[in-house]
Amino acid sequence: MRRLSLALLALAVALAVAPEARAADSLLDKVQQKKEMVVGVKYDFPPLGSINKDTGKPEGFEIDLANEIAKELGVKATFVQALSKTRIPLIVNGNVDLIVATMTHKREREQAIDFTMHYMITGQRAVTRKDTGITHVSQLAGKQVASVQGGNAGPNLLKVQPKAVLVQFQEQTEALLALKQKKVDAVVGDDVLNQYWVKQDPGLVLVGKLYTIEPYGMGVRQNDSRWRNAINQALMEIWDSGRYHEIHFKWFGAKPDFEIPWYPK
Amino acid sequence: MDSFWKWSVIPDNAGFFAGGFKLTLTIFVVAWVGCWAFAVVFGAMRHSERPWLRYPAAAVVEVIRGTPGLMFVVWVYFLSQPLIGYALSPFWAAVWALVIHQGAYGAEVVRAGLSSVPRGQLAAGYSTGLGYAGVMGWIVLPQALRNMAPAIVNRSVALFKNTSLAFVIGVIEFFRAGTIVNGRENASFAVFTFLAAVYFVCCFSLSRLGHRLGQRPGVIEDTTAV
Amino acid sequence: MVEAVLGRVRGRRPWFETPGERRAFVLVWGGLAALAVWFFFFGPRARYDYNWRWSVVWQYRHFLLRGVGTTLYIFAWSLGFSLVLGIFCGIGRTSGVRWVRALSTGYVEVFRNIPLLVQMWWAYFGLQQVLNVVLNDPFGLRVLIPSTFACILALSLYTGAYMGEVVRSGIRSIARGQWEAATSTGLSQAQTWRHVVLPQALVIVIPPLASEVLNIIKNSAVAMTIAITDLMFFSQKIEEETFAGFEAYTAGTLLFLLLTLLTVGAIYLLQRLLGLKVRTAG
Repeated sequence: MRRLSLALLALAVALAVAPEARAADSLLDKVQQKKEMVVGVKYDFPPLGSINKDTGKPEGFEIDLANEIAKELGVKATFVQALSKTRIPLIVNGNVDLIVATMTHKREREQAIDFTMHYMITGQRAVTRKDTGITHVSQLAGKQVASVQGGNAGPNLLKVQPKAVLVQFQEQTEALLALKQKKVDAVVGDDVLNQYWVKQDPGLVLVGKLYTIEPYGMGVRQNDSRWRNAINQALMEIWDSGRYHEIHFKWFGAKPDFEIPWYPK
Repeated sequence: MDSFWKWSVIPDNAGFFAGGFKLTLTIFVVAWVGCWAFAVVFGAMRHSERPWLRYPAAAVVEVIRGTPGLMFVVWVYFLSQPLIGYALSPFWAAVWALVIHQGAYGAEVVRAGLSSVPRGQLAAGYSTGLGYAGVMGWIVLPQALRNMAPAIVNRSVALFKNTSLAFVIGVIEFFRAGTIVNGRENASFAVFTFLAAVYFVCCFSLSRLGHRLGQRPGVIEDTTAV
Repeated sequence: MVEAVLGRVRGRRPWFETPGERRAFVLVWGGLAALAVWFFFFGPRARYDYNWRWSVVWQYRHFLLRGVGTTLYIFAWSLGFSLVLGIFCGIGRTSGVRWVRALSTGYVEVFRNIPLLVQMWWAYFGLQQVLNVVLNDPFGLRVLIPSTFACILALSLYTGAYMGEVVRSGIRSIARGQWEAATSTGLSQAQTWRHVVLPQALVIVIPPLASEVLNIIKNSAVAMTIAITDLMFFSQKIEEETFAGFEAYTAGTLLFLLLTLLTVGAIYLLQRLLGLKVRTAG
């Protein structure tokens, strides 16, 4: 018993005098110190983020963009999967340093995280099979519509068509699978992916017009201006040097039809 | 009919599946070590005669056993930062979640194994002058381990099956590899039958081993499933 | 162990047998508690700024209730099916007829060695593809497998396999003499099963059967991955809307524990109502 109490006392003393690890004040310092930036990206969202069939590694527009940003900062980017429902917790909990995962910059999301300037603008629309004959969102009343847990595609659809029945999956690929298996009549999501799907599968067709505007912003930790500014400035450098246009052309086959909210030095 | 027999999807993506399977095995091996370390500590505490060790250990084990495994995986991944101030990668979060969750079940196995050794043997061991370590090492543990062996194998099979839960936090293990391939190729029947077959072969061989080990008297009944 | 705790709570036994025990308890657990407090408030964790918002649990209680409702719905159906499956499987495994025995053994081995996750996804996506190819496309039908059906199917088959094993061990523990006595008094096979063997066997295996029943509740959390809005799904949904992850998941975990406790209590009551001696596992 005496030995036990002595051991505990020694432990307590050791912990009391142990130097406490000082958390870096800004992620920028931590990232540059470790020479590594952990980025959360999508694995189910070609052409922005998906897994390469042969190498098993993530690839896509957002991955290339993140790699360019890492090059600007002089560090290496490592990638982690960010599902729609996990991307904000990943930033808030510090699991990742940056989120580049088709995340719409929304005012309510600013409660939890900060956003960089938006790097792409798209919208949301429904996709359906040719045989359903659905041509307008109003025809989705009472129908089963698939979306992804955590994304705002489902709630946005309910604003436009409150009578739709949402079926929410983990990833976009499962939603598409449910559509192809005829379990659901439509899938709602960001148009970038919808266009990709429709190009790949002639049996799918877009429904009507875009009903939201989705500016994609990169997610960073809250109250970390130095880190956010670093990312913004890296993004502008990439835009100025034309690398953004190259990457966009590589993945979309066209130049971007929008401008990032650039500002001078 | 063409999509029904899309078996070609499997060999086409064999490399990807193999990578996922390797990760599953890695998670399994690492978590196995941690799980049994946890189980031994808590099982011994639960078996102890000192109530101040027994009741807290029992409380911890019962609470962990009453929680779904998926919940644990999510907890450890997202709440590691608020709880312990350090953000775990998906791989390590999955490993720790499995260690804790399956370890609680393992603690029950260890406890039952320790109780399966008759008390008289302990008394006899002490009376021949062996200390606590001697009695434990020479008398109790060898017998307890032999009695626990099939239950240990059962738990290990359960651990292997539960590695698939890691997929919700983005670990590209075997199951997730399957769902990614399926999402791309739309060959649900082929892919999921293949996944089921591989898991079956692995778990069945393990459980056959346990069955062989269980054909002796004195073996404890493993009634803790999952 | 329940009796030991109850004895102490009712004051009939002292909590610590010797003063040394009390000292050891205070030192070890007090020390660990102090460590936890230091770690939480002064250690590396404290650097992390988190404002606790437990009120969201109350605000979103309707989400949690809906989740509990779906989980209970899945639980009830799976319980019914898996019990029936388990009993038949247990009988089959001890049967004298070889093909019945082989079939039951095959069922148990297959469904116990495949993860529930794989089974559920197979039932939801794989089976649907089979139906589409065989039934829907050729005949222009639209037979769909809803996610709750897939979940209950997979969960019942999975748990039924485990219950079959449990029932089998119960049946095997009934002395051979009872069989022979029953047959000698003129009871048929089916009557022997119904009136002599099964009642005794099932009562004997109530503890392990109870732990399987609890496993149904816990395993049903996996249903969230095939778009079922159960308790796990709603805990996540609250986290998405309020960004209060800790509070949301704690609420979900506590509700799961509560469901588990309620089920244990229900089984206890059932034993009492049937006039049986209460058996607890371990």
